[in-house]
Amino acid sequence: MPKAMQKTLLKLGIIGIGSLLLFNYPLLSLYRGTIGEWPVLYVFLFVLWLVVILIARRIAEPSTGVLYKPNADREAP
Amino acid sequence: MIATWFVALLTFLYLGLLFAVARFGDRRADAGRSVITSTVYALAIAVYCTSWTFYGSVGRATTGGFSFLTIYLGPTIMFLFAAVILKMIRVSKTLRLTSIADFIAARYGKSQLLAGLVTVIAVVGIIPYIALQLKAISFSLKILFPDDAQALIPDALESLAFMPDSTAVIAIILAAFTIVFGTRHLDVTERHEGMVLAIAFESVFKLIAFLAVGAYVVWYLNDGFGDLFARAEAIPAIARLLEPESINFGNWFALTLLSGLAILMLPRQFQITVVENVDETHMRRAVWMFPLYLLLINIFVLPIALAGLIQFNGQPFEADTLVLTMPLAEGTNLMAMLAFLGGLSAATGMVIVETIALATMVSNDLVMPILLHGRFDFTTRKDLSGMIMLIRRCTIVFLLFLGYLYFRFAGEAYALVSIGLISFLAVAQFAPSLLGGMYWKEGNRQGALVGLLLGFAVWLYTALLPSFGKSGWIASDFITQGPWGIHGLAAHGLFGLKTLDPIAHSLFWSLLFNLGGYVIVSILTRQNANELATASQFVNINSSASLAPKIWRGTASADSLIELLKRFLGPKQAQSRLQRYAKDRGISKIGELKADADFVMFAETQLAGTIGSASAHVMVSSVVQEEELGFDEVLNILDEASQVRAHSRELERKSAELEEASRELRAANEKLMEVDRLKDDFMSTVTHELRTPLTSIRAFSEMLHADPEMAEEDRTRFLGIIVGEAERLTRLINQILDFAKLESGRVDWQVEQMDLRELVDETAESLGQLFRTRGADCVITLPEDNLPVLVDVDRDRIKQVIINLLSNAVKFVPEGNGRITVHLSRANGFAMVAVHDNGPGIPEAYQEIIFERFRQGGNTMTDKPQGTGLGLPISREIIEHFNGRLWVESTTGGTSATGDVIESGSTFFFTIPLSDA
Repeated sequence: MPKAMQKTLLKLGIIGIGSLLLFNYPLLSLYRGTIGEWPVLYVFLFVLWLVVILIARRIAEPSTGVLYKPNADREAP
Repeated sequence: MIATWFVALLTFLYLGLLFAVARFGDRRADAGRSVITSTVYALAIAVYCTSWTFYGSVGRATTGGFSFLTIYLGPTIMFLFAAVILKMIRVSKTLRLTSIADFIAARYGKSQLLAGLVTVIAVVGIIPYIALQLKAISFSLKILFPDDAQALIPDALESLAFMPDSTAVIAIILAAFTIVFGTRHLDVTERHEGMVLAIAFESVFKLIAFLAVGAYVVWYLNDGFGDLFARAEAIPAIARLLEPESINFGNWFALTLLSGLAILMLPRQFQITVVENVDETHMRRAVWMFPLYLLLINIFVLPIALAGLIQFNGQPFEADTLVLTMPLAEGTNLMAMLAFLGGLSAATGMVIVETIALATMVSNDLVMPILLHGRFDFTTRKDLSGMIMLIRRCTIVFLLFLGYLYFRFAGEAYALVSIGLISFLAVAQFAPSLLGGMYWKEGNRQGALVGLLLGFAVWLYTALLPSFGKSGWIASDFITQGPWGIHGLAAHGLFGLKTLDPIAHSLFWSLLFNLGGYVIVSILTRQNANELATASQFVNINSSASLAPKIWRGTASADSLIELLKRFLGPKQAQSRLQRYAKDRGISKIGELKADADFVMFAETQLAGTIGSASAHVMVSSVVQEEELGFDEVLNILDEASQVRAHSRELERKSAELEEASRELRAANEKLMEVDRLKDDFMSTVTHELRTPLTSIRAFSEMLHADPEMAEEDRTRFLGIIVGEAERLTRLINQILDFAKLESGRVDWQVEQMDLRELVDETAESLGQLFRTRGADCVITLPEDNLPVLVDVDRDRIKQVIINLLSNAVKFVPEGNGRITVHLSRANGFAMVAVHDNGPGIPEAYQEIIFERFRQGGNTMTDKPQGTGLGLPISREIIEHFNGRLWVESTTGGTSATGDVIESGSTFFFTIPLSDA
């Protein structure tokens, strides 16, 4: 397996372990009350979830954000 | 009220569209233009979201608040451990594995018993789950048409005695779809591109439908999120669902873990994620897009649940169908139809893929072994491919029929309603043997068997049977009281553990027994040679699949292997693959193939794609005479293989080292070229510098020679110039020699400890005549403490530096009005000498240049050279040799912003470390 791929998988794994801690006790028990009318727990869960997804995207597909890249849209057979 | 015919029309149109999408996908695949892009792959994985998600999540949220999210956070986190999924994909591709049963069986010596056991667990665990999908379809139809169970059937046909209900009609259509698009190829490892495209389409459809219903509930029926949350907060019974106190954190963790395992172990997920993967790099997108899908499909779940709770505050209502009943209650029929079709797409997607996956397992790992071991004489038939295909298609029908029967039988029973998580628990039992098999070489067949049996038994006792008990099918006392009143054996309080939620309880005990059995038995028993080989291949698949050891010894006939392949794959398919195999080895005719270990392995792998690895192994063994390899022999082969791998790694390392060395050589070469260029520059500059005084000496000498009558005064002046230029030439040559010695490191340094205070004083005094001639004052300031400033240096060399700096200063100060200051001080372990003059100053651009060889401040084209251009470079070399620094700070004068006059002048500083003593 290429080293770059190994590095990507390692980074994703670290994010995975971080997420396991993030989306469990005791951190979850800290988010009570509301922000405006929104429950803090609802906002926290979904925003954090989105952040984890964005980080995963940046790690796994770092070039996706580039507007034009030759052959970027070509799928492997 | 929606017209029956309209619903029927839309339902059949939707299912027709599904067929069309799948057909399009298959046609494109046949034309060699694959439709499986990374996005399609990621969307197809969302088959995970079934009608249980579409309807059930809202139901769970009405009672458990945020707990429904665990079912989606688990897979999100598991997908971040993409290394595990990639390894599964790689192993499956290399060995042409067709299902999760095949995967586990292949790892443990291609054990048919293990494959059969995994299949049985999957069927027992998943059939009720399929039934739940059919129930969801039936229930949604019942809500739309409470009084017509045959709403989708034309009235004219309803009177027929054998005519089933609407759910059965949909099940039949799904069976047809699965047969047409799920059994196109005999080889299961060949992709079902049309089916995958249809599943991706369904994923998009159900997401759009759910988001539409969510937006409708939030913004049409209410005034947005804020309004909904505010109204929920006002009702204490609902508000508590929004606080962390509503979460049972033990259960939360257990469900996250359970769903994380399920995303790998569910047969349909294995089918899409592993078997249908066409390119490993597609995982790059799936890693984030599938979790994003899960996030989007859940964003409106809680708001819809809150809206339902607020609307029906205190009154009984069916929480699981709020997605459908809320638009219906408001009379928004279009939205209700969209919700119905969304639920239908969620259910059908699951049923199709799950049935294909289970059918592969049942036909390969239950039916085929029975046929191969039974009385069926496969040797009499030349082509078995048609029969195998028929078996698989019949299995699909049979499984869907089983699902339908369970749905009809269980009806509203708890056993069906609660089956989602119970199914997850069943497939989670595969985790120890599957994950252990990929990372632990010592895990063996006996361990996997014992672990699976124990886990399955605990699951039956703590999860499935209690659901039967709660449905009233069997006595339910054992759930809380234990059998025969033994409390320690209560199904929901095993060994007295009553604090956990039933699902967390079952997960804990089943996995504990499963993992414990697997590890302990694996440690206590020994692998056979065959297992050892496959274990090594599974664990090391990432290091190099092509270097996997081929462990086989025996005698075989190539003809009989070819015959076997033709019989099971069909003559045409077999011929094509054999030709490809022969071509890869540079053999022109299939008949020339030799039955070596490679060919036997090839035949077995090809068969594995059609009848599963365990059956393939049995079939190949039936036509070859395999010699039993001793355990030590296999160990030796594996050892050799690992040595080959080690050599390969060593080669890679050496190649990297060579690359590094060549990079260094290139850099060194560039440096040499630079040095060469500098040498040329130096030579050219030296020549130029020598020529200037020589030209002057020659010109004046010629003038003296040509004119003997020259006036005495002129003669004296010319001779003075000649002497001056000759002195300059001598000085220049001395300095060049000095500099060359310094550069080449050939200087004989006479280092001694000395007092810099004395040296500065003495040197300045020795230049007294020079100051006086120029009319300049020289002031020396020394540290007031009168203590010696001791440094370890070469006295003469440092003196040379001070002389150089002072004579430079004298050269540039205004004649008759020059001021030179020499200041000696100590700071931070260094002695510092500063030589200041009130000369014209050095422009900033020249402040660094003057330390380069033959470079001087001012315009070299118009200004008369003031020295050799080597004094400062030599001084810097000397100072740096003693770990000090030499630099200049200078100003060319002017007026400050406040209007003050700034006097021009330069200060040369040098530092030298003080002696330790």
